[in-house]
Amino acid sequence: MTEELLWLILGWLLGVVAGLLPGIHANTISFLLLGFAANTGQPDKWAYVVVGMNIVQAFVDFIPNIFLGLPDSEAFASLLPGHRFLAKGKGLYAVRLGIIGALSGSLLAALLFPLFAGFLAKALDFVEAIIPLALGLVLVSLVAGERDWKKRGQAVAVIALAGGFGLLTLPSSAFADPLFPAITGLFGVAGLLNGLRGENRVPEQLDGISPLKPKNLLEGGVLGSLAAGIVALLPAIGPGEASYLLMKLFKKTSASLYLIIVGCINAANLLFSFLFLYLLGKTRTGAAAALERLGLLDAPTLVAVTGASLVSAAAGAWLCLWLAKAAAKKISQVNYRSLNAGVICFLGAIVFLLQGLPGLLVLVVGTAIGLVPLAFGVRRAHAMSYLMVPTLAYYLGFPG
Amino acid sequence: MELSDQLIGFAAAGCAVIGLGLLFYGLQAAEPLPLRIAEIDETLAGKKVALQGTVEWTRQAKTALLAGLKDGEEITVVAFKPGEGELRLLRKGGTVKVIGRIQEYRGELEVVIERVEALD
Repeated sequence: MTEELLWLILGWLLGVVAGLLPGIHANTISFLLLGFAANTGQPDKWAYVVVGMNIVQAFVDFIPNIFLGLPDSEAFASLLPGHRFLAKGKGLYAVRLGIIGALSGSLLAALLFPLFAGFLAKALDFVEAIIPLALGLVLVSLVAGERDWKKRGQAVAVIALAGGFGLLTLPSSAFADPLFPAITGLFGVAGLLNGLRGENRVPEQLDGISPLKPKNLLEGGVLGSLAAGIVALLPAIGPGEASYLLMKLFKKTSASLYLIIVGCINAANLLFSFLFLYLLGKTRTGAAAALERLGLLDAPTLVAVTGASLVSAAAGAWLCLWLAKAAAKKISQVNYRSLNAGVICFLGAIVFLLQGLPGLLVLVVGTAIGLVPLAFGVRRAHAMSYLMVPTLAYYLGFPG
Repeated sequence: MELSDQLIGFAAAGCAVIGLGLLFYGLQAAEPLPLRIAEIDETLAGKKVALQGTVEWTRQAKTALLAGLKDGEEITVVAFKPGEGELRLLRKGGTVKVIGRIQEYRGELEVVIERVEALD
């Protein structure tokens, strides 16, 4: 077991890199690692690197997501939940909420495996049949969730733009892998550009009392695990959309609860995707796709991988907490606009290096579309139509 | 209730303990049976085994690399979509350790390779 733990530690280190550097996703590193794995003839060992990296990234991701891209904090109501805490000097508290959510998600997912497996065995055909209907309902719910008819019209415009962009780029052979630059543009660069409008300094971050309502933790864990099940079953639905829909459905508005749920989904979704791969041979996450390529599908390996995921969750929690404390100390001292601008340049350079001019074009168009919901003041989740609309078209039998 | 480092530490420790237990159990269960080829029979179909021997012959089929592994007795080992490592190690005359699952194919027992290690 010592050997497996050493491979896991390598994965944790890579997960920290993937989590801290925006634009470097564990999926990208996973597929680079597959090349090494093929040469070493030890695919089972590399599986632990892939698992460790992806789980730790699910935790460390909270740091750039919460500490970067804070726009003008006077528009408080339109801020993302994590940014609301950052604007009040409670960025570290927001990270802690995400961590406890992700820890509870990891544990609950492992406990729910038998239940979820039983459900899949009975209801999979039904779920597959209603995927187009479910995706359609998600889109309608996202639009209906806007506060008035004007905003709903603007949300439809965002969905049309992002969906059209997905229909044009995803099936096109002109782009090697349009998903990475598109998502980076729609959510990453657009948010960071919006951050450039903000103040040059973020408020000093305090490490004070961080209250946690047991009810929120319980609700977050239960709702998050449910949402992770939805994310695992329905293609093109992300953690953000699933959390939003559940919160709307259960009439919850707490930003703390939202962060717990998102953390829970991020971690639980990874574990569920391993189960999904084992039971059905289907890959719903990059980590599961990498495991499939490594050819690891048997029951004992699934148990070992689940164990490795839980150990990695514990490591991810500590690494994330430690790094977040360092970030919270420094963030109020740095030139915030320069930091955001530097990250934008870094993302542009990464996309150009990996995908050349076509990738850069997708990044620029994605960014432009990603700025539209910010300008309208509607939810940025509508831009996930980039994936949802082409997936819906595929299930409805449209060529693409 | 406070979301303190202690609370996170407690939850993380719970994850780590359960995780280490599952990892240990999974690795034990995933451990292949070390066998000689003569010991293999139909009752072992589906089991994960570890065999050591010399590669007597190789044949590249459309989607798989087939090889004859001999330790006195001989059995066919099959690598579907072989990686570079498998192609390098499964060469005639090479001494290797093969880990894989026993399956029956057209009435014959063979081993579907999960991993190959060099013993040279």
